[in-house]
Order: sequence, then C-alpha cells, then structure tokens
Amino acid sequence: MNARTPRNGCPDRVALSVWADTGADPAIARHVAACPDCRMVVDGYRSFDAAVRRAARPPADLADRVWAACLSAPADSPTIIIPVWMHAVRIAAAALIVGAVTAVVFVLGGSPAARNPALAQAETEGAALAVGLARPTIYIPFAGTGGGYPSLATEPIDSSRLTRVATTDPEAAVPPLPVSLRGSPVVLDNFVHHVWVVGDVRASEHELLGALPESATPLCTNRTDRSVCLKVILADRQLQQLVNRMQDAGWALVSPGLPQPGEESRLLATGKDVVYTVDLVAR
Amino acid sequence: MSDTGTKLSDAEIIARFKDGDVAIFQKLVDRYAGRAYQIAYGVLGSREDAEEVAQDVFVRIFRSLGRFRGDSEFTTWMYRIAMNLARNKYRWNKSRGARREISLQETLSDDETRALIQLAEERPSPDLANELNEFETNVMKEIDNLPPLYREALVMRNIDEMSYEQIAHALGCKLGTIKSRIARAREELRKRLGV
Repeated sequence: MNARTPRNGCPDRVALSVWADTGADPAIARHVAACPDCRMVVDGYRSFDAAVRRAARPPADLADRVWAACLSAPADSPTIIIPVWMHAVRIAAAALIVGAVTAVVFVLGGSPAARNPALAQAETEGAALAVGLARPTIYIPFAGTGGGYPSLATEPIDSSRLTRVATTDPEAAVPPLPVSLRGSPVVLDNFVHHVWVVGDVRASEHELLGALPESATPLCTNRTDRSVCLKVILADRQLQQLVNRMQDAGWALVSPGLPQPGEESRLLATGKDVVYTVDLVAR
Repeated sequence: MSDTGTKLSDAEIIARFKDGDVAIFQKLVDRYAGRAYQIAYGVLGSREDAEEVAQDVFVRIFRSLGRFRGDSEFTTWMYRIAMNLARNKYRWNKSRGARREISLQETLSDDETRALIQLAEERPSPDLANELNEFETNVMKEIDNLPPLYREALVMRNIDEMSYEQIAHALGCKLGTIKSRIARAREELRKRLGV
C-alpha cells in the first residue's frame, strides 16, 4: 500500500489504484490532495468506474425473467451412470433374448399375429407400451419427476403414443412398486411433471387456470405441436386436490409419478412447495 | 408459501428452500440476478448474452441449491458460477467468429450473410446508444479489448463493489495478483482513452 516510486515520490500505480477503491491510506490521501498528476490519474480511474457501472445496469425486469427461466427449466432427473462396456453387454444380451424368443416362436408354428390378424393390432399397441417401459428404472423414496416410479417423461412428448397408451390401458404404463415401498406414503420431490391427455387443449388450459388457487402464478407455453405446457408452484396438498379435479374433468393422466388422482393415502403431505409442470396433449 | 415481510439472510433463504419452500428462491433471484448480469456483461459486453448467462446461472443454482453445503458464502459461489459461464460464453462467441471481420471484397455465402446479420444485431440498439454518452461507449469498447484476466478483475471490482479479497477468492488468485490486474487494467484504459 505504501509502495512509492523513488524518483518523484508518487505512489506506484497499484497503490494508487487500491487507494482509489479503498481510500485506506492517509499518506496517499495527503499525496493525492497535493499532487495534480496523481489526482488526474485517480479521477481517470473513477470516471472509468462510473462509466462501467452505468453501462452495465441490468434491465428493470431482469429478475422476473430470470425467475421465469428457473420455473421453465426442466427438472433434474436421477441419473444412472452406466459404464460403456455395460451398454455393449446389455445390447448383446437383448439380441440373444430376441433371437431365442424368435426361434421358439417359429419352432412352435410361426407368429400368432400371422395366424390371427386380430392379434396383429394388439401386438402393435403392446409394442408402443413396451417402448416406454423398456428403459432402465430406478426406485427412490420420492415421487415426482423421475422419482417414486420410473419416469416415462424424459423424452419429447409424442402425443400419438401417449394417446395410444392412455386409451388402451392407462394402468399398464405404471410398473408395480417394489414390495419394500408399497404402502409407504412418500414425500413429493420438489419437481413434479405430469402429462395429461385432454379432448380440447385450449378449453382444458382455461379450465386448469381457473382451478388454480388465486395466489398461484402460472407460466404457460404454447408449443408448435399445439400442446400446452404450464408451470406453477403449489403446496403438495393443493397439488393433490388439483390432480383429483383434473381427473374429475375427464382428463387422462398418463404419467405415473405421484400425486395420482384419488390416491391421497400414498402422499405424505408436508405443505412443501412443489414446482408442478403440466403438459396438456390433445387426444 | 414464502413470507415477504422480513429480511431473511441468504443462509436462511437457502435453509427454507431445502425444507421445501421452493418459491422463496425468488428472493435470491431478486437479490442477485442483477449482479450475475453485471458480471456477465463485464466479460461479454453484450446485454443479450449477459441476460442469457444470468438466467443460466440461476437455473443451475435453482437445480443444485439443495446440494449447496454452505462451505463458502452464497455470493462467492454465485460469482464463480457467473464468471465461469460468462467465460464459457465468451470462448464460444470467439470460436464461432462472432467478432471476426469480413472483407468487403469477398462474395458472401449464405452463412456469411447470416453472420453479418447477426453482427448487425449485436450492435447496441439506438436507444442504448443514446442512453450511454460517447465516453461511456468508448470505455465499454476498450474494456472489451482488454486481456480477459484484467477485464474480469476490473469488472468485478467496478460493477459490484466486490472487495479485493472477494475477487481473489472468486477468481482463485492471490490478493496481490488481483490488485495488480486491476491497476494494469486501469492503466491500459487510461492509455487507450487518453485520459
């Protein structure tokens, strides 16, 4: 702080710069007051500071937009880290199983669908479900996005597939809980993502907005595929009530995560806030 | 839901967030989004990029606050994230040639035409240009031309009144290094602007 340039007695520029910020050294203060050169330097520093502060003022509504971005961001889902070699083993195992099953079917007289055309349609429907269920699953003692049940909502929404799942057998999309977790109420995760299949997306959006508590401030996004995404923060109890009401309106919930309509007993309500993401997809 | 009357400390807000009061995160956003923006603006010199980085900073914090252990101050953690994201954005902008010059003699391909349109869009809007006087505009232009290490330190000092100790901690440098960088940055500006 007291470093001086020996020749003219002025502080060096590092000391002067620090003093311009802190004003902490009385000796430099006395020098600057008496030295026009150093005063000019310090004035220059301060003019830069003022210019930068003015130029870098944030927009007035920045915080609102940042908060909206937080609510709009997809939630983290549990990650299962699988070594590369495991992928190869899994693919090889799957290929072996498919080969073995195919061989057995042909040995026993060909494909059932080939024998009975009515079965072909059912097999196609079943395959659509299988696509959703064949992913690796993880069970953790929370519900919500990716939690409680295996999440099926980690890929872009394919409304045709969702509709097919919903109109065939909605329960079939929900794999059973492990025995150890059955019957135990769970606390919702901070993020819950539900996909609802509805008749009229626009009308349903209005109905949903009308059903929200007055204090809620939802964010809506209209997608190009005419589906609607709505995000809102609700207390867990409010969310359970909302889900019940949506079910009463005749909508089909195709996401397996809690809260599920009419299943309050499975929810350990604590009054915590939950970021609820709703995708409304046309039937 | 969150109350709004009392002034909570950062640590209290974080504790309540961890207890499930998600909406209280908005208080942190209200408090610090501007700072994240300013740090990013100092590094990037673009309002649009700065806002993008500020949003990214808080989205990341929103997702990971539950795992924040509180080993350091929340602000120090936030500054680090903001600075790192702004640096990444700066490198990304550089690598994609956002600032490259295109010869007037060249025939422009579609990509180059798009690049030119983008360059035009990145210039300050007329409103902003009117808002800043010529000196301020020149200062920002010359700050943009400073070596990144000098610019970062100067920006953190200037726009957020961070102490030298906080800047040193956030940038992982020694205190003397920060003092020196800030002084050199100011001297460079003096030379370039003829002040």
